[in-house]
Amino acid sequence: MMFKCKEKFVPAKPVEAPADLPADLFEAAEQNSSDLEYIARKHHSALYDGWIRLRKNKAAVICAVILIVITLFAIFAPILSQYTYFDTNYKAKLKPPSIEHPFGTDQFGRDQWTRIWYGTRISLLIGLVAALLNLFIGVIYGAVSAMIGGRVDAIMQRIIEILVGVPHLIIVILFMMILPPGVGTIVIAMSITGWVNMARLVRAQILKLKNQEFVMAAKLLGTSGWKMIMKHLVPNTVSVIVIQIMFAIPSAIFTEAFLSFIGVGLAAPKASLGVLINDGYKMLRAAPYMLIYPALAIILIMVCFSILGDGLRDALDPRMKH
Amino acid sequence: MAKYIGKRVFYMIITLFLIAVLTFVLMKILPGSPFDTERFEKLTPQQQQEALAKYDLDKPIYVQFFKYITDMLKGDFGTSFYYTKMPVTRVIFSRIGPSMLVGAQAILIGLAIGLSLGIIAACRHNGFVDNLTMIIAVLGISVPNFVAAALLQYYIGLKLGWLPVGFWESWACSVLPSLALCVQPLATSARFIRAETLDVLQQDYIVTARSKGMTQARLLLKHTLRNSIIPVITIIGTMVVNLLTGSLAIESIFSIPGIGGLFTDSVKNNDYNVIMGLTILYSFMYMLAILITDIAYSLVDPRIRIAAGKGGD
Amino acid sequence: MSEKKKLLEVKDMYVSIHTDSGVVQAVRGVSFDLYEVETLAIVGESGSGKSITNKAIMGLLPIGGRIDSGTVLLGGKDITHYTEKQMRDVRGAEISMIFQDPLTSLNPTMTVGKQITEMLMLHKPGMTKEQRKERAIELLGMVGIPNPTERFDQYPHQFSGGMRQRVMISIALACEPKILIADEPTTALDVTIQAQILDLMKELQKKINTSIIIITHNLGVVASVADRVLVMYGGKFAEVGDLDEVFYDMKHPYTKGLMESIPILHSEDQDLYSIPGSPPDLVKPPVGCPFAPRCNECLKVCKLYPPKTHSFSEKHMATCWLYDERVKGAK
Repeated sequence: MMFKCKEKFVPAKPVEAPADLPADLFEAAEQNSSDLEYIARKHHSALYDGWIRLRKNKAAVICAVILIVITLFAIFAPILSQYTYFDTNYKAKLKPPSIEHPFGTDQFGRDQWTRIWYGTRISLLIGLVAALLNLFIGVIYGAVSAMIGGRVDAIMQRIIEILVGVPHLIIVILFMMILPPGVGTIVIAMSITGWVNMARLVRAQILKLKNQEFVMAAKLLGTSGWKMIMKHLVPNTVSVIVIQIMFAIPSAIFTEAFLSFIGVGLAAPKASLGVLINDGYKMLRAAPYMLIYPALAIILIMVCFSILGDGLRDALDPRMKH
Repeated sequence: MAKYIGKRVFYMIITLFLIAVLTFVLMKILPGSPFDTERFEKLTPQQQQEALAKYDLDKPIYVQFFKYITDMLKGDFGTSFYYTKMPVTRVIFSRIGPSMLVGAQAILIGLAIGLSLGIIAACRHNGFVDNLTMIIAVLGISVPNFVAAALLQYYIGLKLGWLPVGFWESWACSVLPSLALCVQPLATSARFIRAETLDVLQQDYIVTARSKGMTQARLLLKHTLRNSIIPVITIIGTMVVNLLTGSLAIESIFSIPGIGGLFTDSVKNNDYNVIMGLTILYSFMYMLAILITDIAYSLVDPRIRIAAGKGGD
Repeated sequence: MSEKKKLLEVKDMYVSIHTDSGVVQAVRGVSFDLYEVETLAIVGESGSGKSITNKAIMGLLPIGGRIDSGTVLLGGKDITHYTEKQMRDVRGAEISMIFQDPLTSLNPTMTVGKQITEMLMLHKPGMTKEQRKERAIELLGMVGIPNPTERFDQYPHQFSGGMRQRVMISIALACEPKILIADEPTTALDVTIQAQILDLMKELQKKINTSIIIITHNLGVVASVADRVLVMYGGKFAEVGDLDEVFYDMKHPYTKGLMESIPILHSEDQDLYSIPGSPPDLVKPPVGCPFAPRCNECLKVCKLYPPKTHSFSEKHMATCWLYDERVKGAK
């Protein structure tokens, strides 16, 4: 069951030496050193190797393309559309999808195509900015903690231990309650405790590398402090950070959608995918398409980020045994 | 071990204190008071002022906070403003049942199906079940649980009428919400145990076990799973936590009288005391889940449970 | 000494492993015999196919591995076509294996005692639980582990490297198999412990009358335990013979290279000799002799056709073009 190999392979029959061979074949052969199979590989950095590996992963590439297409639509579709996301038109309310309104209209007659792409734009923006903000704070905190070490590190770690016990979402909701609704608010609220994970990861990675042999070797060889950081620590840490971002963005989008769904997010007529799903839910009986399209949008984005994130993790951090 | 638990409990207390402070401050910054909401619209401004005075809400902040902390230590979390005069503890207690039921069911179903799928997927790597499981796993973490809930409610509840669309009249009312909430634990656990099992199958001790000449079943149960299931404990903690927060939306959709709905309602109604009580409860449950997970892990893995003894040659 | 019975006959084995980077032809036509109560050392670099050959014998190839052709006769019966059920009765009871890294080769979540009694439970159904425990403790004592009764309930991580290897040996020999395959048993151990483990193995061999196949790249190990030596290179067999024949009358240039690479403690020479180059790529195996690119006695024919096998005595054979009669000055 687990260990059977299904593929057949027929090894080539060994070439039998014919009986009559010319005598000169039995003389000494010339050996050039090029015959010796040295492993001559071009020297690539770890990141470039990872990039090549990623390109081979078809599923990840397709997802990356889909995400780029979605982003382009999100940026340009609302601009190019003849409708805006907030104009109401009671003559055209609750129309199912048609050529004129590819995703239909809502109960206020607003064009869903425009609103959904606008909402996607907002969701992606929030996801990206929140992830980057968490990244920024987390990386600096983690790096400082790891590089300085000693007492400072111990104190900074204690602070993190305390913060880890805080349920992220609850705090976000509470902050959303007191600050005025808006994109900025959501991003800030999500950053209050969202950076903790990144800080821990960055610190762990730097500590791991700090103790590894090649750093000690570099010290012995006399590479100056800065050069050492740039050449050794950065590429390895960058891959960890990149992978983390790939998962942080959909997580932020998800959180924002959740907040908007329970009514703590953006205010009308501004829309994000969460708001649209909420609107769609309210109108589910009358107009199911109002829920389906935004739901599909968010599901598609999440799936693509997931697969791309996995692909990146496999590419930059292979654990395969050969 | 006792020292470790002691240290963790100490941090928990600090965090809870911090959260109490934070929530308290936030409540005070909130515009409006508990008495200018819809429920109390009949009160005149003067009556509102009297109500505030009655609950000591007009005293200086540090006085209020001190009172709150001392009361809390006695087990008194104040009274709800919305459910006038009802102690917060009673309000929360009366609503915790439904959330526990739905949550427990969700985790049990999620783990049962998820773990099974993940294990089979790993054993028949690249087979049909493996690919199916990966698809389910990706979808499971990509479909927000409130979307799943909305769709379940509409298609199975409304259109097909197989199950109630909401409220809390019978056990059947807990089925759809549990199904909606079980998707995420299912996907996460399937993915996780699949990865762990695949990893274990590559290990040297599996070759040793095979070399003994045992059945595949024994190899799987006694050697493979014994090792791959241990790390699963580490994700159960976060799963429980996600359920707590997930319930906010689910309970709203299915109109379930649980603490998730209580939280969202209290936010809308500026019911300070309930919000604070719930926040502290959530934090406590969160940290408890993580602590129990860590302790369980160290007990189950013999490498951690028994520190390496001396074994000289 | 041809009165000794043949326990194992491997004939013309081909093994391939399917990986993401292509099909690795790990073993390309290897044959050898194993007699009773002898120690055969299989020597070669990593990638020579020595480990895979032996895993193939036991049906323990990794995921993606497959015996493409060839036969393995155990006591006259061809086990390559055994069903899984039949192989289960062979593994552990007739042929056992011990592995290189005792740290990772023992199940970390199972007590050492249980791992031994498991072996007994699988192949000796007549024993009761108490009898198994008794026998296991006896075995632990036999391999030189002090306080075996206490150690029975301990976990692998509570043992040192050498101790763990002894545990592995006790597991492998629990059912007194006819053949013990030891895959680099001392490579991961300290030099001082190595000698102890090898002594232990020889001692147990006498007690139980097992034949041992020891896989190694360390000629010192070969010299101390082997009766016969089989040299492998590039998935093929290079030379085989009695210990003295191979060590002192080596025929294959690769064997010569191996001998020369052993550093001599008191010599004047400062340079360490190692055979230049690296092993061939077995995804695209070379057509002729696999050692040709690194051989300093290479002939033109060596690069074109695989060499034939020549016998120098009853047990001494080598696969090399140098011994073809057409070569000027051939023996």
